[in-house]
Amino acid sequence: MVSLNAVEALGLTKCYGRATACQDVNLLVRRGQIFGFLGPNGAGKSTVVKILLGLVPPTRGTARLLGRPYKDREVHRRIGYLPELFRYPPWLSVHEVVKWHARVLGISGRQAVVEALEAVGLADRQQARVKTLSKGLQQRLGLAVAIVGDPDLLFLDEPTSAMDPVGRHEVGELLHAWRHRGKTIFLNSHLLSELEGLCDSVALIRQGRLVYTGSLQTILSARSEFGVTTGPVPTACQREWEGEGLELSGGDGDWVYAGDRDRLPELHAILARHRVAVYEVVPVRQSLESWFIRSLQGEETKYAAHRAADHMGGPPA
Amino acid sequence: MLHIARLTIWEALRRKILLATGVLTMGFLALFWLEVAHQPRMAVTQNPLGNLSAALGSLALGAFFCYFVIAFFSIFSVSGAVSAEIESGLLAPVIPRPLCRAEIVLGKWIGFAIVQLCFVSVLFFGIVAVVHAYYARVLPAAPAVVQAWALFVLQAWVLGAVTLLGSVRLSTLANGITIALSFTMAFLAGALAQFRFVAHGSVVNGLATAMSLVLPTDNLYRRAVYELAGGRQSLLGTALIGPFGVIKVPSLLYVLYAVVYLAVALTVSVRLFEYRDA
Repeated sequence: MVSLNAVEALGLTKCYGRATACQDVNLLVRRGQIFGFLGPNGAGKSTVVKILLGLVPPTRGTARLLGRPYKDREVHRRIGYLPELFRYPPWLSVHEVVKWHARVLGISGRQAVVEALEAVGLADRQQARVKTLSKGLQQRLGLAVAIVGDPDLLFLDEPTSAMDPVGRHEVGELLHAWRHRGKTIFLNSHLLSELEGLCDSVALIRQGRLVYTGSLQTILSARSEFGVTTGPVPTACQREWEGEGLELSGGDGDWVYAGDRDRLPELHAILARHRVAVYEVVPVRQSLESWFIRSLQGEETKYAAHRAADHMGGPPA
Repeated sequence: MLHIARLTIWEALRRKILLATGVLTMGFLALFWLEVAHQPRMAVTQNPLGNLSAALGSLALGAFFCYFVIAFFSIFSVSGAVSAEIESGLLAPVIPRPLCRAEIVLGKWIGFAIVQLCFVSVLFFGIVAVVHAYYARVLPAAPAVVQAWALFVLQAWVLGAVTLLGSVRLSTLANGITIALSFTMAFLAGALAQFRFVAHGSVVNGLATAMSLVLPTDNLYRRAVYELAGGRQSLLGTALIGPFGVIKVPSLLYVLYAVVYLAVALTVSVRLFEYRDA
């Protein structure tokens, strides 16, 4: 039976002496999804990816890729990988690099190589030596290497970090097209605005531990906020909405109401009573970036509380 | 495995490693030819023993240079084979491919071994050709020359394997220094053992034997010189070419040991690489 999951990680742990790069990471990525793996620098994202790809042996834990053990040689024929830090032999041409990887996959024809290079916009630079390519073009070459052989699962670690906006847009289009073909994409990226438009689900890792995993839609709709544009607001009006427990921030006519949508008429009534002109009320969609920052800050506070509690020998506040 | 070997040979060709080595080898052979050409010689009929000594002296000198040049070529070309490629990110896109780690290590060694074979052959037969041009009548028979060549090839392969093993764990610089110093120590220990005053069973002799087990290159070199001399051990003693000569001929068991050593070095390289982060 074909597994519905492209990636299943169970308790992945990597320790270097007393330091822990990642601990008990459990992940589930459905087939056909674009999955965003988020976390601040040094959180352990790349370590998890490297374990899944066999670059780093785990201290504990195991994983399955496309329904088979992650070390299975056959499964590696169906995987493409663009590392964050990579280099291709500078003395090879663009075509030769992709051709070599195609050969390793058992593909001898020229067609697959040309298709991969066309997909990333390098068809006209096939004969150029790798050493003559800019960083952005080398990243495109890395993408061509990752997609050659039509893999079912792609691991992309910061795939657009060196690209210009046009390059990023093109890669975004490529990934959308890839997903429409039923492929699974595992993305590590710091460019959260890009991930927001691409991902179906995300996971957040911090200090080697997974702190969130779920759908992107859930994250973006979890907090309802509305932008309210008004005329001058008297202090009495502000006191009244505060008294009613309505949470508004901002000022000078530009407010953000964070709360239940059903209480908007109540807010409107208060403003009307004080003859405050209301020009606009618009829902504010939470961005992935704001969620990311808020989540990390929340975690920071939690960790600080734990540390303080540990220090004092009592429970966290 | 052959994909990796091909890439390694491709690199040697494309990065002009073989070209530069070839040009310098020709320069080296030209200098060696000048050295042999300017040796005082007499007609073979006038002084056959003197000519034989001169021929063997030239061969031993050529073999000595060959020994060192091959060693440095092997050490420098292999010292960063794994560690440098991991540090630079060259191996990151390769390891997730459907290749087991053993294929990567062994493929690299095979690639280097083919390059070393070409280099050793050109250098060794170049030296033999130069000596042959002046001392054709006193040179050993072809089978002895081929045996000596095979021993030089084995020496290069052993050094390549042990340097590859070092490159799995050490940085390029640390590995290169470690292997180069070990190689020099093995030579010095081997040279010490050639002196007549070093008695069998003495501490110095024990040290030389221990060092020859740590790195069996010196025994291979001395056995190759012995073969090149057509088994004329007495003429290769310290009186003729000092510590570069062969008083104590390493037995064939040492050659067998070198083959086993090579296999063990490759096996350990594979095992260590399997547990190394990339």
